[in-house]
Amino acid sequence: MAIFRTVNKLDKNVIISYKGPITPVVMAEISQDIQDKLAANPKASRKVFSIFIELVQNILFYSVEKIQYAGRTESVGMLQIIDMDNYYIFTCGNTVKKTETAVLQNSCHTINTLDKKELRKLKRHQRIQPQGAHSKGAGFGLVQVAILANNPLDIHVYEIDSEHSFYTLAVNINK
Amino acid sequence: METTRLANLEITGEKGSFFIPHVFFDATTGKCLMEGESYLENTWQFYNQLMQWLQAYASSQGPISFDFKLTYFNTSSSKGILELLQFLKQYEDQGGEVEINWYYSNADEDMLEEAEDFIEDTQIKINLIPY
Repeated sequence: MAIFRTVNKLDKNVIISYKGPITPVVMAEISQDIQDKLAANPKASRKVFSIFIELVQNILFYSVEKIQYAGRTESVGMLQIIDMDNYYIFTCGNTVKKTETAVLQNSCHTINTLDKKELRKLKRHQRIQPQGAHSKGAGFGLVQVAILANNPLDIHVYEIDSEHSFYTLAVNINK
Repeated sequence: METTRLANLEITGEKGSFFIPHVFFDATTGKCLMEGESYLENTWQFYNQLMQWLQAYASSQGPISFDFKLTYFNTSSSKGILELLQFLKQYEDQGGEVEINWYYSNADEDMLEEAEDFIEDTQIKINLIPY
Protein backbone atom coordinates (compact mmCIF):
# COMPACT_ATOMS: atom_id res chain seq x y z
CA MET A 1 0.00 0.00 0.00
CA ALA A 2 1.29 3.41 -0.87
CA ILE A 3 -0.93 5.60 1.22
CA PHE A 4 1.87 8.05 1.85
CA ARG A 5 3.98 8.97 -1.13
CA THR A 6 7.36 7.35 -0.85
CA VAL A 7 9.87 10.11 -0.80
CA ASN A 8 12.95 8.35 0.61
CA LYS A 9 15.87 10.66 0.16
CA LEU A 10 13.45 13.45 -0.66
CA ASP A 11 12.35 13.42 2.98
CA LYS A 12 13.52 16.98 3.35
CA ASN A 13 10.71 17.88 0.96
CA VAL A 14 8.00 16.76 3.35
CA ILE A 15 6.65 20.03 4.65
CA ILE A 16 3.85 18.64 6.75
CA SER A 17 2.99 15.10 7.72
CA TYR A 18 0.30 14.63 10.31
CA LYS A 19 -1.97 11.85 11.45
CA GLY A 20 -4.18 12.39 14.43
CA PRO A 21 -7.14 14.33 15.76
CA ILE A 22 -8.00 17.39 13.67
CA THR A 23 -8.61 19.94 16.41
CA PRO A 24 -9.01 23.69 15.87
CA VAL A 25 -5.55 24.18 17.39
CA VAL A 26 -3.96 21.62 15.04
CA MET A 27 -5.64 23.34 12.11
CA ALA A 28 -4.35 26.74 13.19
CA GLU A 29 -0.81 25.32 13.53
CA ILE A 30 -0.90 23.72 10.09
CA SER A 31 -2.34 26.92 8.56
CA GLN A 32 0.59 28.81 10.02
CA ASP A 33 3.05 26.20 8.72
CA ILE A 34 1.60 26.51 5.23
CA GLN A 35 1.95 30.29 5.38
CA ASP A 36 5.52 30.12 6.67
CA LYS A 37 6.90 27.28 4.59
CA LEU A 38 5.29 28.20 1.28
CA ALA A 39 6.00 31.92 1.62
CA ALA A 40 8.28 31.88 -1.43
CA ASN A 41 5.27 31.01 -3.61
CA PRO A 42 2.40 33.23 -2.44
CA LYS A 43 0.01 32.18 -5.19
CA ALA A 44 0.51 28.45 -4.57
CA SER A 45 0.47 29.09 -0.83
CA ARG A 46 -3.01 30.65 -1.03
CA LYS A 47 -4.27 27.72 -3.10
CA VAL A 48 -2.75 25.10 -0.79
CA PHE A 49 -4.29 26.86 2.19
CA SER A 50 -7.77 26.98 0.60
CA ILE A 51 -7.50 23.32 -0.43
CA PHE A 52 -6.38 22.40 3.07
CA ILE A 53 -9.44 24.08 4.62
CA GLU A 54 -11.89 22.41 2.22
CA LEU A 55 -10.43 18.93 2.56
CA VAL A 56 -10.01 19.14 6.32
CA GLN A 57 -13.73 19.84 6.52
CA ASN A 58 -14.32 16.53 4.75
CA ILE A 59 -12.26 14.83 7.45
CA LEU A 60 -14.24 16.58 10.19
CA PHE A 61 -17.56 15.64 8.62
CA TYR A 62 -16.94 12.16 7.28
CA SER A 63 -14.15 10.50 9.24
CA VAL A 64 -15.60 7.59 11.18
CA GLU A 65 -12.49 7.44 13.32
CA LYS A 66 -13.19 9.54 16.40
CA ILE A 67 -11.28 9.95 19.60
CA GLN A 68 -12.03 11.66 22.87
CA TYR A 69 -9.52 14.41 23.34
CA ALA A 70 -9.58 17.03 26.09
CA GLY A 71 -13.25 16.40 26.66
CA ARG A 72 -14.20 16.78 23.02
CA THR A 73 -14.91 14.25 20.30
CA GLU A 74 -12.42 14.82 17.50
CA SER A 75 -12.19 13.38 13.99
CA VAL A 76 -8.97 11.62 13.05
CA GLY A 77 -7.37 12.04 9.67
CA MET A 78 -4.04 12.39 7.93
CA LEU A 79 -2.54 15.30 6.05
CA GLN A 80 0.65 15.58 4.08
CA ILE A 81 2.25 18.29 1.99
CA ILE A 82 5.31 17.55 -0.12
CA ASP A 83 7.39 20.19 -1.87
CA MET A 84 8.39 19.00 -5.35
CA ASP A 85 10.44 21.05 -7.78
CA ASN A 86 7.59 22.64 -9.68
CA TYR A 87 4.58 21.79 -7.56
CA TYR A 88 3.30 20.79 -4.15
CA ILE A 89 1.50 17.52 -3.48
CA PHE A 90 -1.31 17.83 -0.96
CA THR A 91 -2.64 14.53 0.36
CA CYS A 92 -5.30 13.88 2.95
CA GLY A 93 -7.01 10.74 4.09
CA ASN A 94 -9.35 9.27 6.62
CA THR A 95 -11.46 6.24 7.43
CA VAL A 96 -14.94 6.35 5.95
CA LYS A 97 -17.96 4.11 5.84
CA LYS A 98 -17.56 1.79 2.89
CA THR A 99 -20.96 2.89 1.63
CA GLU A 100 -19.64 6.43 1.10
CA THR A 101 -16.64 5.56 -1.03
CA ALA A 102 -18.59 5.10 -4.28
CA VAL A 103 -20.00 8.64 -4.04
CA LEU A 104 -16.52 10.04 -3.41
CA GLN A 105 -14.97 8.10 -6.28
CA ASN A 106 -17.76 9.06 -8.66
CA SER A 107 -17.45 12.73 -7.70
CA CYS A 108 -13.71 12.70 -8.33
CA HIS A 109 -14.16 10.83 -11.60
CA THR A 110 -16.75 13.34 -12.84
CA ILE A 111 -14.64 16.29 -11.74
CA ASN A 112 -11.60 14.91 -13.57
CA THR A 113 -13.48 14.80 -16.88
CA LEU A 114 -14.33 18.52 -16.73
CA ASP A 115 -12.26 21.51 -17.78
CA LYS A 116 -12.07 24.66 -15.66
CA LYS A 117 -14.99 26.38 -17.35
CA GLU A 118 -17.19 23.33 -16.81
CA LEU A 119 -16.01 23.04 -13.20
CA ARG A 120 -16.99 26.64 -12.51
CA LYS A 121 -20.40 25.92 -14.01
CA LEU A 122 -20.78 22.82 -11.84
CA LYS A 123 -19.74 24.80 -8.78
CA ARG A 124 -22.35 27.47 -9.48
CA HIS A 125 -24.96 24.79 -10.03
CA GLN A 126 -24.14 23.06 -6.74
CA ARG A 127 -23.82 26.29 -4.78
CA ILE A 128 -27.27 27.51 -5.69
CA GLN A 129 -28.95 24.31 -4.47
CA PRO A 130 -30.64 24.49 -1.09
CA GLN A 131 -28.52 22.91 1.63
CA GLY A 132 -29.17 19.14 1.47
CA ALA A 133 -30.31 17.45 4.67
CA HIS A 134 -27.38 15.04 4.37
CA SER A 135 -24.80 17.66 3.46
CA LYS A 136 -22.86 19.16 6.32
CA GLY A 137 -20.89 21.67 4.30
CA ALA A 138 -21.64 23.74 1.23
CA GLY A 139 -21.53 20.59 -0.92
CA PHE A 140 -18.99 21.67 -3.51
CA GLY A 141 -15.68 21.43 -1.67
CA LEU A 142 -14.18 18.89 -4.06
CA VAL A 143 -15.13 20.97 -7.11
CA GLN A 144 -13.53 24.00 -5.49
CA VAL A 145 -10.35 21.99 -4.84
CA ALA A 146 -10.18 20.99 -8.51
CA ILE A 147 -10.76 24.59 -9.65
CA LEU A 148 -8.01 25.93 -7.39
CA ALA A 149 -5.50 23.19 -8.19
CA ASN A 150 -6.28 23.02 -11.91
CA ASN A 151 -5.06 19.41 -11.72
CA PRO A 152 -6.88 16.07 -11.43
CA LEU A 153 -7.98 14.64 -8.08
CA ASP A 154 -6.15 11.40 -7.36
CA ILE A 155 -8.34 9.25 -5.13
CA HIS A 156 -7.47 5.85 -3.71
CA VAL A 157 -9.64 3.62 -1.57
CA TYR A 158 -8.23 0.87 0.64
CA GLU A 159 -10.56 -1.66 2.17
CA ILE A 160 -10.17 -2.05 5.93
CA ASP A 161 -13.01 -4.42 6.78
CA SER A 162 -16.52 -5.22 5.64
CA GLU A 163 -17.82 -1.83 6.79
CA HIS A 164 -14.90 0.58 6.54
CA SER A 165 -12.41 1.86 4.03
CA PHE A 166 -9.53 4.28 4.18
CA TYR A 167 -9.43 6.78 1.34
CA THR A 168 -6.75 9.18 0.30
CA LEU A 169 -7.10 12.16 -1.96
CA ALA A 170 -4.01 13.73 -3.51
CA VAL A 171 -3.79 16.79 -5.70
CA ASN A 172 -0.88 18.69 -7.21
CA ILE A 173 -0.67 22.45 -6.94
CA ASN A 174 1.68 24.07 -9.44
CA LYS A 175 4.14 26.66 -8.20
CA MET B 1 -44.17 58.12 19.41
CA GLU B 2 -40.91 56.28 19.43
CA THR B 3 -39.37 54.48 16.54
CA THR B 4 -36.45 52.17 17.00
CA ARG B 5 -33.57 53.25 14.85
CA LEU B 6 -31.52 50.53 13.22
CA ALA B 7 -28.07 50.42 14.82
CA ASN B 8 -24.80 50.07 12.92
CA LEU B 9 -23.55 46.51 12.68
CA GLU B 10 -19.92 46.06 13.56
CA ILE B 11 -18.12 42.75 13.92
CA THR B 12 -14.47 42.75 14.84
CA GLY B 13 -12.32 40.64 12.55
CA GLU B 14 -10.46 37.78 14.15
CA LYS B 15 -7.83 35.38 12.97
CA GLY B 16 -7.42 32.36 15.21
CA SER B 17 -8.61 28.81 14.78
CA PHE B 18 -11.39 30.31 12.68
CA PHE B 19 -11.30 33.49 10.59
CA ILE B 20 -13.95 36.12 11.21
CA PRO B 21 -14.12 38.93 8.66
CA HIS B 22 -14.33 42.52 9.81
CA VAL B 23 -17.81 43.86 9.17
CA PHE B 24 -19.09 47.41 9.37
CA PHE B 25 -22.59 48.19 8.16
CA ASP B 26 -23.51 51.85 8.55
CA ALA B 27 -27.20 52.34 9.29
CA THR B 28 -27.09 56.06 8.41
CA THR B 29 -25.34 55.97 5.04
CA GLY B 30 -25.99 52.36 3.90
CA LYS B 31 -22.27 51.86 3.40
CA CYS B 32 -21.45 48.23 4.08
CA LEU B 33 -17.97 46.80 4.37
CA MET B 34 -16.78 43.23 4.69
CA GLU B 35 -13.06 42.61 4.72
CA GLY B 36 -10.51 39.99 5.65
CA GLU B 37 -11.03 36.26 5.71
CA SER B 38 -14.14 34.17 6.22
CA TYR B 39 -13.89 30.69 7.64
CA LEU B 40 -16.32 30.33 10.50
CA GLU B 41 -17.41 27.88 13.12
CA ASN B 42 -21.06 28.63 12.45
CA THR B 43 -21.26 30.06 8.95
CA TRP B 44 -25.03 30.07 8.69
CA GLN B 45 -25.48 32.03 11.91
CA PHE B 46 -22.88 34.62 10.88
CA TYR B 47 -24.31 35.32 7.43
CA ASN B 48 -27.85 35.21 8.75
CA GLN B 49 -27.16 38.16 11.05
CA LEU B 50 -25.75 40.15 8.10
CA MET B 51 -28.82 39.26 6.07
CA GLN B 52 -31.18 40.32 8.87
CA TRP B 53 -29.45 43.67 9.15
CA LEU B 54 -29.70 44.24 5.38
CA GLN B 55 -33.38 43.33 5.41
CA ALA B 56 -34.05 45.73 8.29
CA TYR B 57 -32.08 48.49 6.56
CA ALA B 58 -33.83 47.87 3.24
CA SER B 59 -37.21 48.53 4.82
CA SER B 60 -36.10 52.20 5.04
CA GLN B 61 -35.48 52.09 1.26
CA GLY B 62 -32.12 53.78 1.62
CA PRO B 63 -29.20 53.31 -0.78
CA ILE B 64 -26.72 50.48 -0.21
CA SER B 65 -23.07 50.65 -1.19
CA PHE B 66 -21.36 47.36 -0.43
CA ASP B 67 -17.58 46.95 -0.42
CA PHE B 68 -16.22 43.41 -0.45
CA LYS B 69 -12.53 43.36 0.48
CA LEU B 70 -12.16 39.68 1.23
CA THR B 71 -8.87 37.88 0.70
CA TYR B 72 -10.16 34.41 1.52
CA PHE B 73 -13.46 32.60 2.10
CA ASN B 74 -14.30 28.92 2.21
CA THR B 75 -17.10 27.27 0.23
CA SER B 76 -19.60 27.50 3.10
CA SER B 77 -18.99 31.25 3.35
CA SER B 78 -19.34 31.55 -0.41
CA LYS B 79 -22.89 30.23 -0.08
CA GLY B 80 -23.56 32.94 2.52
CA ILE B 81 -22.10 35.65 0.26
CA LEU B 82 -24.23 34.42 -2.64
CA GLU B 83 -27.35 34.81 -0.51
CA LEU B 84 -26.39 38.39 0.40
CA LEU B 85 -25.89 39.22 -3.27
CA GLN B 86 -29.18 37.59 -4.21
CA PHE B 87 -30.88 39.80 -1.65
CA LEU B 88 -29.13 42.92 -2.98
CA LYS B 89 -30.23 42.04 -6.51
CA GLN B 90 -33.81 41.60 -5.35
CA TYR B 91 -33.63 44.95 -3.53
CA GLU B 92 -32.32 46.61 -6.67
CA ASP B 93 -35.02 45.02 -8.82
CA GLN B 94 -37.60 46.48 -6.45
CA GLY B 95 -36.21 49.98 -6.97
CA GLY B 96 -33.48 50.10 -4.31
CA GLU B 97 -30.22 51.87 -5.08
CA VAL B 98 -27.37 49.38 -4.91
CA GLU B 99 -23.69 49.64 -5.67
CA ILE B 100 -21.28 46.75 -5.15
CA ASN B 101 -17.50 46.98 -5.23
CA TRP B 102 -15.33 43.87 -5.21
CA TYR B 103 -11.68 44.52 -4.36
CA TYR B 104 -9.17 41.83 -5.26
CA SER B 105 -5.41 41.51 -5.38
CA ASN B 106 -3.92 41.70 -8.86
CA ALA B 107 -1.99 38.56 -8.04
CA ASP B 108 -5.09 36.63 -7.02
CA GLU B 109 -6.92 35.43 -10.10
CA ASP B 110 -9.08 33.04 -8.04
CA MET B 111 -10.66 35.98 -6.18
CA LEU B 112 -11.49 37.69 -9.48
CA GLU B 113 -13.09 34.48 -10.78
CA GLU B 114 -15.16 34.20 -7.60
CA ALA B 115 -16.64 37.62 -8.37
CA GLU B 116 -17.26 36.69 -12.01
CA ASP B 117 -19.15 33.60 -10.85
CA PHE B 118 -21.25 35.66 -8.44
CA ILE B 119 -22.13 38.04 -11.28
CA GLU B 120 -23.10 35.11 -13.49
CA ASP B 121 -25.25 33.64 -10.72
CA THR B 122 -27.08 36.77 -9.61
CA GLN B 123 -26.90 38.98 -12.74
CA ILE B 124 -26.08 41.87 -10.44
CA LYS B 125 -23.55 44.50 -11.46
CA ILE B 126 -20.34 44.26 -9.46
CA ASN B 127 -17.49 46.73 -9.94
CA LEU B 128 -14.28 44.70 -10.08
CA ILE B 129 -11.46 46.71 -8.56
CA PRO B 130 -7.90 45.33 -8.64
CA TYR B 131 -5.29 46.62 -6.21
